[in-house]
Amino acid sequence: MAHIPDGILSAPVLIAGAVVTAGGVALALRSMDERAIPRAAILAAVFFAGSLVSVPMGPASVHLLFTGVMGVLLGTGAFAAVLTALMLQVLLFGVGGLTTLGINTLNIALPAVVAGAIFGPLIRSTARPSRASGYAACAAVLAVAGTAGLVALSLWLSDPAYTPAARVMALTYLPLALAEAAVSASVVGFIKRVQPDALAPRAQAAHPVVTP
Amino acid sequence: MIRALVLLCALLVASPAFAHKLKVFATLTDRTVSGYAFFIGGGRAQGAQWQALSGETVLAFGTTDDAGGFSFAAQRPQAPLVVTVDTREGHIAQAILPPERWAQTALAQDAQGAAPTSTVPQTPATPAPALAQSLERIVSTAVQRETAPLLARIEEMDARMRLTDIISALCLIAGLAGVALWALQRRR
Repeated sequence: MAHIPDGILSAPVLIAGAVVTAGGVALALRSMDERAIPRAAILAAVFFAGSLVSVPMGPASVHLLFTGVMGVLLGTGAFAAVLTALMLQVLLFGVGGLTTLGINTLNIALPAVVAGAIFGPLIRSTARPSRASGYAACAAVLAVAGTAGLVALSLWLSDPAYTPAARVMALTYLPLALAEAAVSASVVGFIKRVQPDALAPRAQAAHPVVTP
Repeated sequence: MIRALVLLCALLVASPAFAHKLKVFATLTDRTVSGYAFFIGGGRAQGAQWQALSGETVLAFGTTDDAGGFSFAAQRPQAPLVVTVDTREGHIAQAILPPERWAQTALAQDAQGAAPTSTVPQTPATPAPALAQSLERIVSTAVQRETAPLLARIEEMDARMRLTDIISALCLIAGLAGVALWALQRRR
């Protein structure tokens, strides 16, 4: 899935992935403050632990990514959280690869950041938890679809022989997107009810609540 | 919320899966390469495409069976034989068999042909080194056949994750956050 191992991707794809990820991580580190660092650490731990539990599904196996929630709660900080978790997975378990660390981080974190940028303001501006849950579900589906697309693109650019099959991608990523949507909706809906301010990546970035 | 948590817990408990890495196990017995593709602790890769390459030459290809298995006959290749399994959704793994493995198998097979089929003791004219060589080949065949399942088991155990590693990683993340907060405070 999103953990592409060493020896598969071409050098230009690896270099481009590493460069963009380095930029994303630099942006993340620059924007992180005392409030963001523990949040990023918690979500990195959730991503790390969640990625270790997979469910066999046909020729593949899938696991939760939590990227929709990460995008909403961390913004660009998702790059730092994903990089940390992926690096530990490579070093401790050999899942993924060291040379593919950059592109794997990009494939997972970029869709999360984009989904958070699109649906984050909508989630924060609505006063209704149910609507926030709906937006969070959409963010999760967008993040998973983005990761699927970027993984397919990485493989296709490196070697067309490795281009993922649309049928298998649908078989694996569709259930994952639905599971991610359910989890993200529950998490965001809960936070919206108990502490809506926690949904903003930065304290000062919180949007005013608009009563519908 | 409670229902979602229960669902999540049920998923975690119901799945014996741990981790998410595809691995390929391949072994050679009687000039037949066989093996299977598996996710570490998470079952076999069923219906996945596999291909056997020696250098640039495609020796065999197909899709894995319900147990994630594959099998094909192969003569000794010039270059190492690489079996690649591709689930076609981003998981790709390889197993490599060096040509030296065929030499051992060939010796073993020759031994089977040369093995005495009668319990009648050999004539004193049989040279002792030849008998010793035959015996060695027979033993080699038997050992190869008996150790194949063990090698498969070792492959799976070697790749298994340990709870202590997972806890260490979570503590490392907490430690990194602490270091980042300390660095932030010092900068100010």
